Amino acid sequence: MNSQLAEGNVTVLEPEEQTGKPVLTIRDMHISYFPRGKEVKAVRGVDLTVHAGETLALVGESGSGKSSVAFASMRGLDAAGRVMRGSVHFHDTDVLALNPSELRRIQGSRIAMVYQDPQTALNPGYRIGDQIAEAVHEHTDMSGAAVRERVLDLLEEVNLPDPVGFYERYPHELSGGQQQRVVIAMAFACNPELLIMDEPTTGLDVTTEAHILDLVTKLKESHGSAILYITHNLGVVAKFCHRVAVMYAGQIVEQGPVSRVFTAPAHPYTRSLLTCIPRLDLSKHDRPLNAIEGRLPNLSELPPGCVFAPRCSESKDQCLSDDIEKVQIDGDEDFVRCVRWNDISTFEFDRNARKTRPKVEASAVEPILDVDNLQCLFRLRRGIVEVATGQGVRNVHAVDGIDLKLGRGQTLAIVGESGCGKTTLGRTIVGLQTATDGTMTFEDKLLEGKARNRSNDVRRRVQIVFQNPDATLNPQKSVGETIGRPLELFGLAEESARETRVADLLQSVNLPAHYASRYPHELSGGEKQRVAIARAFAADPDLIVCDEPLSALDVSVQAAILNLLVELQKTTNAAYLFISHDLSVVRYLSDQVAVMYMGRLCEIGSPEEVFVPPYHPYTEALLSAISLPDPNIDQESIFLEGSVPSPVNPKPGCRFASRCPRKIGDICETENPPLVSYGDHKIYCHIPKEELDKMRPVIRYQGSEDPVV
Amino acid sequence: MSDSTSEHPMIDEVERKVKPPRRVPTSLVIGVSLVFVFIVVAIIGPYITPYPFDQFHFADRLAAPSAEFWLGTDRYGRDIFSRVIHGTQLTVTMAGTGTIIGVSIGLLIGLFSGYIGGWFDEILMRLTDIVMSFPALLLAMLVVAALGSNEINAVLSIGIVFIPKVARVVRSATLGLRNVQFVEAAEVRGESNSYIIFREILPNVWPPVIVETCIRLSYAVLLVVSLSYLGLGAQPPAPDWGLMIAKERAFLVSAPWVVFAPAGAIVLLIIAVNLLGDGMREYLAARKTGDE
Repeated sequence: MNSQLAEGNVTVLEPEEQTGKPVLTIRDMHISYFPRGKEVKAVRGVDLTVHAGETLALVGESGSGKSSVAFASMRGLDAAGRVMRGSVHFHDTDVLALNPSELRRIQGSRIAMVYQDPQTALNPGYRIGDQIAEAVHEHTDMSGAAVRERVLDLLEEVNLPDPVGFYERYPHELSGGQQQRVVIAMAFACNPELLIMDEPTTGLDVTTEAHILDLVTKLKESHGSAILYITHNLGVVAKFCHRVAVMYAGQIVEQGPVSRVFTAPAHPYTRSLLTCIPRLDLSKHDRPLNAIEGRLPNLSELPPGCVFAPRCSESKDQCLSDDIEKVQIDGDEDFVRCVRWNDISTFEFDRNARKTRPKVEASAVEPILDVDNLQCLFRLRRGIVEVATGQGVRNVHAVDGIDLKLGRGQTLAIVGESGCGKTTLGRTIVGLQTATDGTMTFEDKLLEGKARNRSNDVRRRVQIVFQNPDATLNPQKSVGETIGRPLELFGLAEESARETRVADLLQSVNLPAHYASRYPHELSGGEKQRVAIARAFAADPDLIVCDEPLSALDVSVQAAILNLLVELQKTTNAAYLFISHDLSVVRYLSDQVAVMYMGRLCEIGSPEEVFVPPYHPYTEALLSAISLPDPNIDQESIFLEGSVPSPVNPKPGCRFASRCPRKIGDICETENPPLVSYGDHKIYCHIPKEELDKMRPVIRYQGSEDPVV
Repeated sequence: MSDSTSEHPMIDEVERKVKPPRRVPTSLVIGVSLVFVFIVVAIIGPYITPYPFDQFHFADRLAAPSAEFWLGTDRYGRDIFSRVIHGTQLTVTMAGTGTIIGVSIGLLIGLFSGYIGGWFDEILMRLTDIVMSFPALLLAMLVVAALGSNEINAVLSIGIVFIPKVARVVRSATLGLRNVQFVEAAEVRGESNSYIIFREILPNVWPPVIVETCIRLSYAVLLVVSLSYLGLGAQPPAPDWGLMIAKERAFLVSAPWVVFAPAGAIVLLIIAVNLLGDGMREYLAARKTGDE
């Protein structure tokens, strides 16, 4: 058994480490952008110090100015932005005063940067080895064989298998996670003293993210670099960083050690952020999530007083009058920008939110959708050479034999990493794609072929909500036209009544009725998604496929949309097929969870069953990889080796066998896994039931064996 | 902590911002005004000319520009200023109609080809490949030679030459929208092909179509005058610019105004249309990125 199970906590972070010398010092930084000649004060008065050997997280939602700070500290602002005031020191060097050649000498050799999208950081036309070699060559006096030696060492260090082979590869031959490893290898090529990382794991799957974070932690220790880590993901911060600075609307509202900020957040914004993320021990049956009302203030005309006051539940008159100064909490690097932080009640997670409730047996609910052995293959085009040499037909097995039942008014979540076929499954159900085998029964009717070939009644009752709020609405149509169209098409409201119905629908998604005359570019991302939800509900559907409807939204908006979905389900009794990669969201929203891997189901059951042992080994690995913004839990760390195998003509046996840390033998690679059934909870695995029963919870309350669920 | 989320948290009403007027590129301003002047001249030109375009002044043959004849006269003593002004109507209408024919048919082909795809797309695009493999002027000449040389056939030939080029542009814009989620949402609703094409896709392909139309228009002007220069468009005594250059070119050295006046008008019109196209492109691109 090639078990990779590592015992114990997530990385133990010692707060003492922050006593190192300051590496990067930012003082009173102001950044403005000038779109159409108007000044937008994106960053106002940011003070930040990154000490040697520490990881400082800069967190905030979109528009908070976190990336501007990072770019400006490396003089990388684009033409529209300008540093209005303030200083940036790297050790004792004034970065803003350097001339371009001095700046270049520092960048790359002493300061390195890693950005979100590795594809843009790598030149597609050069071999990756040569690209790393260039970074080494540029900043050291090594040459020839020594450089190559160093590159191979680096490739080895970032855990790429077969460094010699990878040296010769081009970026497109690598997966996203591998590309990001190469970028990290380039960043560490010259032992930088400071590493600036801007959302380096945002586009990656959770299991890959866990790998990358682990890798960066190890490299950081061996190279002794300091890291400025920019992210919106509080879970990653809790797992990976020493100190955290929370930004809101261009200011740091709170800064302090992770251990303090995550357990006793002082600023109301930090508190709201921490409570609007669904936690693993919270479900829709317990209580609604805490969403932050309102939206970011307009940065070109800021009112006096606290920037967060208009959205703050604790604000009083004193918050609105004066500019808010920093208040030190514990040491000069630990502060909060709130006048009332001492007056507001102490922060506590409501651990006991769970109410006892009668468990609804999935089989007790009348199924509205019954998917039986569904298969979607995509045939790859064969080139002339392949046809001539008689090479067989090659199929991508996107969905390969899925059985599901979804009850009326219930939510079935499909979770899995990118490429597991979950989106294809959703698209087949709504009729954007055709199945190659198997059946789908909606009530007593068969769902067949494309939407156009289905009956009007079925089309009306099966709707979809898409992922990307920017693409989901036609930019040339007003909100009223968009929502009114299903009413018109399905004859649900006479022309005279349509306007009132649209207003009702807008009301039901918590938008004011006059939004009907607005166009998509006048709406924020969350508002667009609300309109898309209203459009889906306009048809009065019984089944809505939600294809990652939250993943492009900020966490505070996410919470509000989640609450909305729960509420609408209560009032309309629509069933959701909720496709997501976010396990905490799934935990909150769903009645049933199905875990997918490479087109097959691994495990299905209620969240209370899936999130506790016995697990499918893949579920176990997924749970261990997620980042939770909760320092008071223990989490197992399990690393999956290798990458997802090709979905083209996959091998027989268990799809997960090639990466499974609990593989029991050859049987895994030769025979399809049998169904291990615990009532409604089903696991497809070769491991005997007695073994599965002995599994330990992956996520536990600190110091106990109780699973967090 | 805020608990107000449970009931009906109304989204904060953010005042609808009156957007500051977009910056209009200078080239667009100049282009629009020049094209406007040409259109006005095309409409009222025949009524404001000092002399009829075909009036002979035998005493003043090949006269130099003067107060009497602003741009001089040709070999029959016809006033060149009157002829150029009069000819504006012919050139502008022919170029305009040809462009409209080409753009509207090309637009339809591009939309359907791009949206429907498959064999339909394959066949249409191979056909456009065939048409595009001929040089524009040669193809136009072939069409006119086959149909007979007059103004209407010249306009038709311009339309035919333009169809594949416009179809390509529209097709690629359509392909980019084909799998966008709002189009897929319409498919899930079961909308008909024509609803999706005309109501969902068409409003979003206007920007490239407008820019392409402006570019085509300047080529159309060039094609119109080339055809009539070659004697395949308007026939004498029509005051067509191309025809004027062709007929009077023998006097280029002794009386340069006979050629320079119509040539100047051609150059000015093409510059105007190009400025319009460039300005339009800039303006529409700014609109796309300017709205956050």
